[in-house]
Amino acid sequence: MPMKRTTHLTLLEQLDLSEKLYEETGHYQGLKKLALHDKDPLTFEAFHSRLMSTVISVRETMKHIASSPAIRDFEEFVIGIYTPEGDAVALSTGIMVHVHTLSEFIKFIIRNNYEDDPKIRPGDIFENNESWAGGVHTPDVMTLIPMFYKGEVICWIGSVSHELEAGTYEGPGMTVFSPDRFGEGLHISAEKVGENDQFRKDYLIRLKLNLRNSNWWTLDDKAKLSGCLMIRDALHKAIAKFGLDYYKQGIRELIEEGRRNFVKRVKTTMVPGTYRGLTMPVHKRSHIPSTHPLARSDFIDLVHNDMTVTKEGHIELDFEGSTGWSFHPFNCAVGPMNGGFWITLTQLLNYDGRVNDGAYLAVKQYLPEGSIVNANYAGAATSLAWWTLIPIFGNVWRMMGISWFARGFLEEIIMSTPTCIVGVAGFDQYGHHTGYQNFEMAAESFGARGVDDGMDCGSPIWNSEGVQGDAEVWELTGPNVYIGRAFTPNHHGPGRFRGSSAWESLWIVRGSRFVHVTLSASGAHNGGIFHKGLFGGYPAPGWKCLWARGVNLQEMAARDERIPRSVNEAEAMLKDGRVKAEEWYCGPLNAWSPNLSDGDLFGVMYSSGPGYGDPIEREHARIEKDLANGLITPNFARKAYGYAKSVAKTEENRAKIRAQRLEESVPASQWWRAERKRARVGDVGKLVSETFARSVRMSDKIKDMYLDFWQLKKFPYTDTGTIDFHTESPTGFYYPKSPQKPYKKAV
Amino acid sequence: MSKETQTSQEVTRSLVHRELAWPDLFKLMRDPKSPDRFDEMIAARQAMVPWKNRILLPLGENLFIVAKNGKAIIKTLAGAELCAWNENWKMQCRVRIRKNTADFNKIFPPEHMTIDPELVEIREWICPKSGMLLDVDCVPPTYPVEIDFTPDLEAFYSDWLGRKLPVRL
Repeated sequence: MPMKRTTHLTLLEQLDLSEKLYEETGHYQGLKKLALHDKDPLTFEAFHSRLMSTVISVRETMKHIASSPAIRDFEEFVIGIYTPEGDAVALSTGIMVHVHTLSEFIKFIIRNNYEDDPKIRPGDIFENNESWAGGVHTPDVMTLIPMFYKGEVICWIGSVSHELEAGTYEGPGMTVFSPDRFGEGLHISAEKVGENDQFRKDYLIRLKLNLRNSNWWTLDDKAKLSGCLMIRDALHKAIAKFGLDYYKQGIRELIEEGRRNFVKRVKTTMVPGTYRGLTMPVHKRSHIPSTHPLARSDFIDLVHNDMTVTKEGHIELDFEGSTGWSFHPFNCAVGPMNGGFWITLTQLLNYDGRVNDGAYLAVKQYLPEGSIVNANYAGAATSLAWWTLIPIFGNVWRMMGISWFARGFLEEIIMSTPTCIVGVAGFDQYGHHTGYQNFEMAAESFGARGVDDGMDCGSPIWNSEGVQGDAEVWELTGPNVYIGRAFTPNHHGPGRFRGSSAWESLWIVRGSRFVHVTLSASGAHNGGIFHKGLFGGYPAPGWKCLWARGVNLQEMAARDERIPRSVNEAEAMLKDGRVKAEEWYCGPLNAWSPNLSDGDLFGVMYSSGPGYGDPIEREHARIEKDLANGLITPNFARKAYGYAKSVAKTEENRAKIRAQRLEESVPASQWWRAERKRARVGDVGKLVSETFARSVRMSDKIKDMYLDFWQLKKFPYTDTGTIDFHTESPTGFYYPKSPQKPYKKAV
Repeated sequence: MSKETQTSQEVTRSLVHRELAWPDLFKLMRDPKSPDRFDEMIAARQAMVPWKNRILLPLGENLFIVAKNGKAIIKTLAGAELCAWNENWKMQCRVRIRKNTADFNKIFPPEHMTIDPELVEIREWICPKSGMLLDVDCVPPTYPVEIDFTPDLEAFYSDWLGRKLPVRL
């Protein structure tokens, strides 16, 4: 018989009890046996299917209520069911990052005692985009309702959408240049925003006055609320069929089953041990004339990441050695880092329909307090936390690939790409103020796989359902018209399996006299690199963006002259004067254009992904297919892959390449002796020197590695390039925290 | 041989040789993960290498942990024996460093290459016997050389595979 659950506990007592039971038994809610599952697996599966089909079908309906292109066209939302304690039970398809962020939001409500004030009642609506309350960044807006049954909260139903506009200082939903949270737009900090299944009028007025495109947010909110209410109705029917006791026990068994399946899958497909990764997104803003004084700095965020697969089948990520938070919107808090981990788990390990918080019990992240992965300044901005998350978790994907390779599951290996964004703000073709990021980047694609090339123009790391969308939708969304959208030849990380091919878009401003663009990329910009490839595959080259003001394109068109169709072509024509502009920029730096008007240009070359394996092991047929599709040129094929028209000639070339490598290389010990002289004095550029010093400000880990490897006694890097500045963590309320692990030097 | 009559070992061999068509790969992705895959993969790789040492764990397409004289060592496909299983094998390779724009442009076309060599250098770790690339790192200059993976061989063999590790660590 199902366990009869007590109903007289407060939500806080239920949460405490749940955590205590797991601590004591190692099983979710102390469930050593899955009574319902074991007694009748078919009924149990029918119960699970009922929940899953509900959330997935409701999500499809929500698209038709929503307003913003992000939901209607680009799949940027999710909806799910949570236990009264806030643990995910069943999630729809969509942006899986929020499996656990919604969970943190519910726990924030419970642990801050909302049951007493502002009260949790039937019909209440709570909303959040606050990173201190589990959110990732201001554009990711959570809508949440409690579901009561006979006076008792029996679950929470929550939904998250990504809003294209969030009231930021710059205009688009994610800010590139704000120094702190006070520029990243409208914060809804775990607030009650509705009662009796209706949003409050004061809340809707607040949206209207604090957003440029409030219709998107408001109608998306209504879509999310409708979805929550539809699920509530469906759950009443499910309870009528299965019974309340079955429901209560069943949702908890599903989570414990999810935990067990996760451990089983890790033990079946991975190899225990320690995996190591390094990412180093470069941030430059000092070249932007209008940057806030606090944000006028250039620096590298060094993130060292040890991933340990334990003997017990758990996965732990440790970021000891990473540099500190700073005055920029790329900081992460616990919520964003949990979100980043979830996009990894749900796409790579838990993709079998059992996406729930069971897996969370078998993973752990050690996020050093005050570091870039756990900013502890109360005013820290996280608006573009993704600029840290994407390289980090892209690298985690790569590290998991090493594990699957070692175990023989080559079909599971996949890498990622950096995400590049184009933000547009100002006044649109209808005369309204506007701001948005063009989410065609949701098809930025991925890096090489263990059995194939990266998918050209596929989904990105952060949304497995991401699509590019119709150009026409984006032309309706803002004052711009596409004049080019195509693959970029010769732009990928070479390898036996290559990274996805880069692609690019070029726009002309239409219908506006006041519009500006912000352009940035996650880890591939400002001269940086995303992350390495696998087993001899190369990383991808960086990205490029372009803006040009006072352009003579309309005159050229009137003269029937060719106008540019790509970023590189526009750059070449601007350089040689075929296209004239009063001012322009094309290159890898973050950009914030001046006001652009009708006929001006902007564009982006999205970055490609890293490669897998030695490029000279690439199949001849794959090279010829890329040549036929125009993704590479013969010259590139020869240089990168040793390609010649016949297999025999190609093999001859490849033998020469191997000989050349041996000739041009030196024994590592010889390189070490020579390089040690440089390492002793720290003969590197200012930014790199400051990066090492900033890491040491947080932890001795990188310093110890450095001194051990180079066999030195003194660390040469001391100048951080910034003032040593102490800030206060928030106080007076509960917020999600990460376990800390005191650093101990490895023996 | 038709796909229907292929044994699991033959499918894994085809996977390792990258001879499976997409429908077969999709099936592998969808199917429950077989606990036999590791042994099948080891058998397929053992048949590919030109030496006799027993493969304990592959570390890359051209890099293996193998058993030799009762100990675990790291060995390349071409036969270069680099170091003990848990040591920094990269330091026994040859290395080519790309640290200026001209070096980078040998891989990336100039019109796309926006990596700043002052911030990042590319280190190519090369098999000293064959000239094959074993790994490519991209790190800030003077960053210590790290290996990407140190397995817990004892736990893997004893606890996960349930068999005795055939070497002394």
